[in-house]
Amino acid sequence: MAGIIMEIVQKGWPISRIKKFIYLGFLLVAAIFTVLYIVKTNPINYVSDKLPFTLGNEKPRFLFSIYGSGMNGGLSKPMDVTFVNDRIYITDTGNKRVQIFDRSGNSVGLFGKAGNKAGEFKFPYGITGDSEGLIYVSDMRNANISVFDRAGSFVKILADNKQLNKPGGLYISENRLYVSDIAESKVKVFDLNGKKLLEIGKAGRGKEELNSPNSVSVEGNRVYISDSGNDRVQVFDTEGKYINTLGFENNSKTSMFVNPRGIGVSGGRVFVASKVTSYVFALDQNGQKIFTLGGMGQEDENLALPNGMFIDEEGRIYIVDSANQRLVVYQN
Amino acid sequence: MKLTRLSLILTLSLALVMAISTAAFAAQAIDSGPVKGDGRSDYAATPKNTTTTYPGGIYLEYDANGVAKDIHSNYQRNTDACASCHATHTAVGASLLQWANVTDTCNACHDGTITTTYDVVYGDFANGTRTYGGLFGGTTEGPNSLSKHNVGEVNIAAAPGGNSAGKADGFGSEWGKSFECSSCHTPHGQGRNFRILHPDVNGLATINRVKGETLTSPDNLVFSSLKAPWLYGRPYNSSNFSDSTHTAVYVNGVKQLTGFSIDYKTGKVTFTSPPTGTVTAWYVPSFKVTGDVANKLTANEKVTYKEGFNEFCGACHTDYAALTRGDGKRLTGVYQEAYRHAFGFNYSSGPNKKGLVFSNNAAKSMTNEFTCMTCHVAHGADQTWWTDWKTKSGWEGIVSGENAGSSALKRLPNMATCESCHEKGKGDYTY
Repeated sequence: MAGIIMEIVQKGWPISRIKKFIYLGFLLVAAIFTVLYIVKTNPINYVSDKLPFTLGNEKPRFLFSIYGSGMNGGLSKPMDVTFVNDRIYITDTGNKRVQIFDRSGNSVGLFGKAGNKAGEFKFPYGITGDSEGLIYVSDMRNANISVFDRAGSFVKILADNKQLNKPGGLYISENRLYVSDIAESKVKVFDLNGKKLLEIGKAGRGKEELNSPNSVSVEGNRVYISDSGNDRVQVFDTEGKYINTLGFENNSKTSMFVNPRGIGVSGGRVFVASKVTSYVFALDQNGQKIFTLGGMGQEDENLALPNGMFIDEEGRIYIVDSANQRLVVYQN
Repeated sequence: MKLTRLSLILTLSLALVMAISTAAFAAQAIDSGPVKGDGRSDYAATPKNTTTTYPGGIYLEYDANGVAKDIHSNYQRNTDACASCHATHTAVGASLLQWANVTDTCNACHDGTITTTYDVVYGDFANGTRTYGGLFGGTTEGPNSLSKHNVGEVNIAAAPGGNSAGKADGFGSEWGKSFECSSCHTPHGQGRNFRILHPDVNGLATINRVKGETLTSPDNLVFSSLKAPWLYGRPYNSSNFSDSTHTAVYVNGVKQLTGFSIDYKTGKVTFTSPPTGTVTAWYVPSFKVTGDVANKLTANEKVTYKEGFNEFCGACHTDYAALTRGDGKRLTGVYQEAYRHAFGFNYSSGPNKKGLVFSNNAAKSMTNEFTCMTCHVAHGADQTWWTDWKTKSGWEGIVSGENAGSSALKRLPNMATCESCHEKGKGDYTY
């Protein structure tokens, strides 16, 4: 590249050759992005995953907090968050509704009300979105998953209490919906029509067994499950085959997590919300701790019983700071 | 000329991009590096101990199987769990508590999201079995007759029948404090009480400190075994602490600093060299509340209340219980006089008493003691809880709704709690 630039500076190229050079460059970039679009791969994540190093020890930067809407009231015991349709959706569990904010944290609406009829909530918990912009909300008490359009109009019940007992965290990857069933201590995988495809894990305390899993997150072929009652994160592949366990640094017998909840993966790091210790741990791919965020408190960069978490394609980390009744946003 | 200018523009553009990239990387480098000591793995864990018990201390006995017994015993797994309630240097309350409201912390697990323990919000556990203690509610729509202990919302002084002025007095010392889960429960299990109920509820045990019990026979220095276990005082073997609240041991009137140990569980003092003369102990006997839980956390869980419930509830609902108990025929009350229902008696015979829960109090030789728990649940009640509880016996002919609006934490709605024993039924005007 340097040689080409020097040649241009010293000798000058014919204009037709420069044009050809620029056109070829455009074509190359367009071809790369077309391929990435077709295979539904985020170029930033793709490159960061291929690089032989992680982002190092740099902590994400605190951006802002969302406490709710002035007009509609604050958040009450928020439990989970997702980012889809260029909107932030938060399960406002204590108020039995979902609040919607734009990317800057401005309130743009809400949906849902208390009840046990279709589209109503008793304990709205997990929330996620699909590529069509539909919003999926699990209700731990009504034992179902409701689907809403991007504005919050109820569309359908995807799975009900015949298929679910206590649904918690949700995640959609490759048109498959991953649901942590807290009471049954397993993760259930559905297609987006509600057909169950697979179950991962079973109740217990041993390897490959789960105890009250509250959250699930998928990155590539890896399914990360917060095994909340066992104070650890277990990793399976998308077909349910066990890969490894996170939380035990340097073969320690004690986990670094206490009641882990939300999980997010970004830039080669795995983020885990350790609810009772009020930290979010950042781990490398080998499960070694890189740094922590939070710590009990009410200041901007504190957390108090963090629960759900979501990391968007631009590396923004959304952490539900449940006891502080807010959402905090970091930039990875 | 044109080509030279174009070449120059391209070169300068590339240089600009490189300069911005370099600055961005440099900016990140300035803020790099983890903060040492901010993660729990930097701390040493509390040693595992499978044999030693801590009868009045910080920890419950170690449980290898926390599900079967008490999950709060597993603190040795992670010392940072303490930080959810305690702060070493920046606490806002006594006992290094850093929360004005500890209820959120309790509900991190007890809100139904950890199914191997009790869900106190909804009042059930994993398999849908309803708890004896009722619920704190907040999960159903519209009026459903919910009444509850308002944890996190009021001060202890708000207790009906208590000191509404909120000032410490001879009947309680914590009236002015926020009413939390920790007002009635002690997460560490001090006192070994049923359901980890607090051994110093409303500070009443401290108020009732035994100020000098003397034994003249030092061969067997067990102080009033009926008053054991004792609450741990802070270092009894230090002269730096006053005697106003702490445990202390005297020999012939001289405070002992070394040469003895105390078994808080039994109230026994053991000296390295047996002393001659009189031995005197100052100590705080814990509130004793006992009960049994059979088949814990299973669908067949059965709770039997035993001793201490009237005294426990009466620590805050002073006028309703404890010191001035009523018999329905005379005015009683510390803060406000009224005629009050009798309690603390044995219901040996009479109408069916269905749907109510009586205590098996061996200490009083009562198999059917009428207590606060007979008619009331501890946490709260609403229509949903009653509806599910109806599967128990004794609900024949009872509708689960409450006409009065508030359900007053009753085990049965409306006047069913009265009718279960009194059976007035249809009026009889023939007398």
